[in-house]
Amino acid sequence: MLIDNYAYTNKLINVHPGEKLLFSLTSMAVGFVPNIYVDLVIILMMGVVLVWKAGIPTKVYLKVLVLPLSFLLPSIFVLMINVVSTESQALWGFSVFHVRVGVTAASIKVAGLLFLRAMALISCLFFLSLTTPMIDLIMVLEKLKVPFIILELMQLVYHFLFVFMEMTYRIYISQSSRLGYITPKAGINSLGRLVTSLFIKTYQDSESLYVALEARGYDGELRVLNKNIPVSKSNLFCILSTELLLLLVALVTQGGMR
Amino acid sequence: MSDYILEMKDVVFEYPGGIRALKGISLAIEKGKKSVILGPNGAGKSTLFLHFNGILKPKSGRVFYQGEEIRYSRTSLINLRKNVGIVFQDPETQLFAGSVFQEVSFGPMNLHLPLPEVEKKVEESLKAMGIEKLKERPIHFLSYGQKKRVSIADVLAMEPDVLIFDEPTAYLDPKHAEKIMDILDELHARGKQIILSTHDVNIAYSWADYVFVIKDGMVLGNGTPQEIFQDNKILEEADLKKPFLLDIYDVLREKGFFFDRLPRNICDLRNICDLRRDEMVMNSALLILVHGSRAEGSQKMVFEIAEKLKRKGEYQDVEVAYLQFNHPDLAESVERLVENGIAEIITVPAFLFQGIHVIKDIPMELKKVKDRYPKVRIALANPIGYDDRICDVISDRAKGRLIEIC
Repeated sequence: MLIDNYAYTNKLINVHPGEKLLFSLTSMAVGFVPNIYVDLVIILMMGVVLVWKAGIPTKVYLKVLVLPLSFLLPSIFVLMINVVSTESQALWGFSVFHVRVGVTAASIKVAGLLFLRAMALISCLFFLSLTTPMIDLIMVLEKLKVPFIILELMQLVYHFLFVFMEMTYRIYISQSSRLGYITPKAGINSLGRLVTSLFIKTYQDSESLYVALEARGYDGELRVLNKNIPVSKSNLFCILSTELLLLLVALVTQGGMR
Repeated sequence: MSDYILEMKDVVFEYPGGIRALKGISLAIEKGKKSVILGPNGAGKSTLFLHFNGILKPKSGRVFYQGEEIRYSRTSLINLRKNVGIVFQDPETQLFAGSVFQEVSFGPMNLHLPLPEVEKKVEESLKAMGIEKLKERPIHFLSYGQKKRVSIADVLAMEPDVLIFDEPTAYLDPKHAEKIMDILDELHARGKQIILSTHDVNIAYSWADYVFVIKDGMVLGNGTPQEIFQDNKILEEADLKKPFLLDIYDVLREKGFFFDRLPRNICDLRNICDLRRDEMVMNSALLILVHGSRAEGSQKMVFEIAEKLKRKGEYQDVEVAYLQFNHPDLAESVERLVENGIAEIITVPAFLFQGIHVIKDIPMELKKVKDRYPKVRIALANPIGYDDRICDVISDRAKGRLIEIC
C-alpha cells in the first residue's frame, strides 16, 4: 500500500506511463548482460532517479529494497555452496559422507553476479511500481492491444483489492474488540469466520455492483475514458541514450568478471 | 403528453425465493415536483426504484415513463437508463474504476458518444459536484463524502431527466448531508426531476413537494408533506415519527402563537412568528405599572427603562404609572388607562430599583381588569435587582414569552 501511495504522489506522475514502462523494461533487458558493473550502475541509477526525479524519500526506497532480500539472500547462500573435487579449490569447506562440500572463488563470483543482477532487475521493477499507478499501466497495456478481458479483470481486481482490504480490516477490528484473537485457538476460529464472511460480502458486493453498473447502461464491457498524456520526445531520447550508455559500460568493462 | 413523469400501476414484484417486495403498488410522480418516497427500512423503496429504470421487471402490473409503458427490449432499456439515473445508497458498491475521471466516464461511454463529448460531460458533471480537483485521484483515496459526490457525478454525466436518489444522506454527517440536499435543490432548479427515498421524516417534510408513504410493499398514503405529516394515523401505521419542526409548531401553538399555515423549515417558522410580532407592534402600547412610592432614584430608572423599550421599537408607546397596589380604587384607575389604548400591562415593584423586593402575584384588583378587558395581557416582572437585562425581562413578560397570568 505504501508503494501504491507513492505511485500516485511521486513527481513523475505526469510523465507518460509508456515512457516509464519503456525505461524500466529496456533497463531490465540491459541488466541481463552478464556484467556486474552494468548491474551496479543500474541499481545506482534507479536509486538516483527515484530519489531525485520522483521525490521518493531515500528511507522509503531503502525499506522497499530490503523486502526482496529476505528471499534473495537464502537462495544466494545456497548457490555459494558447491561440491568441490579437490581440497585446494575450496576457500572454506566441510565433509558430509566423504563428499567435500565448500565455497569456491568461482561460486562466490556466480552468486555475486546473480545477486547483483537480481537487485538490478528488481530496482527496475520498483521504479515502475513506485512511479506508475496501476490505472496508467492498464491504459498503456490497452494501447499495446492486450486483450480487453484481461485489462477489465486487472481493473476490477485492483479496485476491489482496496475495498476488501478495508472490509477485512473492519471485520478484524470488530472481532478483536470482542477478544476474537485472544488465544491462538480463538484466533484460528476468528480467522476462519473472517474469511467466510469476506466471501459472502464479496458475493453480495458483486451483485450490487452489477445492478449499479446496469443502471448506467452496462452492456458487458467496462469502457472508461482514459486521460491523455502527451509522449515527450526528449524523454524518449534520454531513455534511449541512457540505455546505450549502459551498453557502452558493458562493452568497456568486458564482462567485469576478472 | 402525460403530466406524470413516472407511473406505476398495480406493480407486484417477487424476489427469487418468493419474497414479495412489492404488493400491488400504484403511484404516479408528477412532473417537476420534488417527490419523496418515505418508508421504514425494508419497505420496498429500493426495489421500487429499480423498477423505474428497468433493472427489475414486475411480475405483474405496468410501469410508465413519460406516459409510455416501459418495454424491456435492449434499445428501449438503453433509452430509459439514459433518462432515468439512480444514485445508489452505498457509493462503495457503485464505484468500480481506478480514477474518478474513469469512473464518471463509464456512463457516457456506454451511450457510445464521441470521445471529446464524453470528456466534456465528465468535466461538466465533476464541476457541478465541485470535485473537479479530484479528477485524477484514485477512488480508494477518497473519503466517504467524496465518494458520494462521485457517485452522483457518475449519474449526472449521463444527463438524465430524472435523478433517483436512494437514501442520499445515509451515513453522512449533518454538514455533508446538508450539502447533498443543497445539490439536490440546485439540480431541481436546473430542471431535473428529483425523486428520493428516505426514512428521515425531517428531510422529507422540509424538502418534498409531494410525499408517498410506503410500507410492506404498499402505498399507505400520498399527498403534500403538510397533509401527510398532520395525519397521525398514517405516520403510526408506517412506523414514522412526526417531524421535529411540527413538534415545535405544536408546542408554540399551545403556548399561544398563531400560524396561518404550517412552517416548512426553521427559517419559515421564524418568519411566521415575526409576522405575529409585527402585528403586536402595530396595535400595542405597554403600561409599566409601578407599585410603591415615587422616590427620586426609582423614578429616574423607570423612565430610563421606558425610553429603552420605546427605542427597541416593539411597542407603539410605553407609559409609566405609579399606583399603590393595595389601594381599593386600583382597578378603576387602571381601567381608565386601558381605555386609552393599552394592550399590555406589566407590573413592577418600585423597590426593585432600590434593592431586593419581590411581589408574589399580580394584585387581585388587576384580575378584575382582565375580566372586563380579556384582550389585555397582564404580566408580572420580578427581576431581582436592576441591571441591563431588565428591559428584556419586561418585554418578554409582556409578550407572554415567560409566563402569562390571568
